[in-house]
Formats: sequence, structure tokens, C-alpha cells
Amino acid sequence: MNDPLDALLAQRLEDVADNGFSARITTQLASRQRRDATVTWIVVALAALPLLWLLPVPSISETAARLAPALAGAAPLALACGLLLLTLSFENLLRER
Amino acid sequence: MSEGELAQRAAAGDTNAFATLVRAHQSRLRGFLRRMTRGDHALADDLAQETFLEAHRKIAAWRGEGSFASWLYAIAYSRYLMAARRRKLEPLEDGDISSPSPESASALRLDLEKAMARLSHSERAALTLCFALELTHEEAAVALAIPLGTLKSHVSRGREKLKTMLQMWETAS
Repeated sequence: MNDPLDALLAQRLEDVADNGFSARITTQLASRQRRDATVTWIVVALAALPLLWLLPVPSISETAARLAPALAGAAPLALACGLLLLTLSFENLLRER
Repeated sequence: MSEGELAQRAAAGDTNAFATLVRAHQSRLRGFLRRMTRGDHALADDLAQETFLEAHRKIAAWRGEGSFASWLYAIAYSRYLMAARRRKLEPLEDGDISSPSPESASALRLDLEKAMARLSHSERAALTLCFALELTHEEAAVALAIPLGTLKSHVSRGREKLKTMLQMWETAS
């Protein structure tokens, strides 16, 4: 690059200090993601609302009431719940470390 | 971790990966936009912010063809052109052609910035991308969304205009 103009042009642009710029972008992204998630939930909830009218609610609650005592006393279910709790606690412990 | 891997993670929702990309590119991108906006730091930073947000939205579409930087500059340049149209940003007129003789490196640089402000948007962008930001002609052409031949003519026409202006200022002082 012998031309002095080329050498001048090839000088690096002056460094621009971050001064919180990257953090502002990250904050904006996080708030946008939260807003998008909220909108998604609202849309899903609104779409699901008409389904409530179609659901056989009395029959479901009757079945649930009949099965609940049997489920509460089931050993495999209690074991599965215990294992799930242990796994979650272990994961939490690892994350804290 | 490579930029490709960071981009993949960002596309999968990893905000930290995207933050790493922002930190790595913010200085050069904002520098590019400051030159394009002729030193309007506030506008340049607004455009840089819009560029990064748009990049985040479209990051899954970046397939690693060409550098991540040139993809970012493409978004930044199109954002800049939209803002320039909205705000009617035109190259400066030749009215204020008098300039002090460049006696030091910083004065020379100042003169270069003044001369740059008188170039067209595409000439200014082409010269900045190819020289100061060291993109290849092919990458710069992709970033500006113009054919390679057009880019080369912007570069050569821009150089000639700059040379003429700088020589004129030197003889005038």
C-alpha cells in the first residue's frame, strides 16, 4: 500500500468504548423475549377459552374424585414423585455450585 | 468458541452467546455507523442498536456463509439507508471547501473525515468497509447488496474524489 491516501484510508476506525451499550442490548432482548412470551401465553389462553365450553367438566371432576384416593395410595406414583423431587434438588444443588 | 457456534447458540435462545457477539462487534459497527452518519453519535448508536436487535431476530437465517461481521454490516447499511432517506441525509455540499493544512496525523484524519462526508453514501460505505474494516471486495459487495463491479467502481470513484479534495485543501492553505 504505497499510496498515502490508501494508508490513510486503511487506518483503523477509532475504538468506540462500550460504556454500557452491550448491556443495553442484552436488557432490551430480555424484555422483548418476556413480552413475546407473554403475548404467546395470552394468545394460547384466548384460543383455549372456547374449548372450556366443550369440555365435559362434570364427568371429568367425577372421574378425578373417584380416582384420587386410589392414586394417593399408589406406591409406584409415590416413588416416581420422590425420584422427581430428588432429581430437582440435585440439579438445584449443582446449579448453585 | 467460533462465531458460527456462538450464532448457533444465540439462535437456540442463548442470550449470553449473543451478548458475546455484541461485545465483539460493537466498536467496529458503531465506528462504521459514526462515519456513515458523519459523526452523529446518537443516530449511529440508535442504528447500531436496531442492527443488533434485527440481527438477533434473524440470526437463525445466517448460515455462516461469509463473515458474521459482513452480515452485520449489511443490516447496518440498510438501516442507515432507511434513516438517511427519512432524514434526507445528503452528502455535504462543496461550499465549505476550506480546510486547514494537515500538519499532523490527527489533522490529516480530520480532513479525511471531512472529505468522506462529501462522498455519496455508497462510496463512503465502500471505502470504509474495504479499507478501514478490511473486508474483501466480495464481502463488501455482499454487505452493500451491489454487484462486485459496482463496488469496485464506487471504491475507485471515491478514492479519486478524496484525492482531489485533499489536494485542493492542501494547495488552498
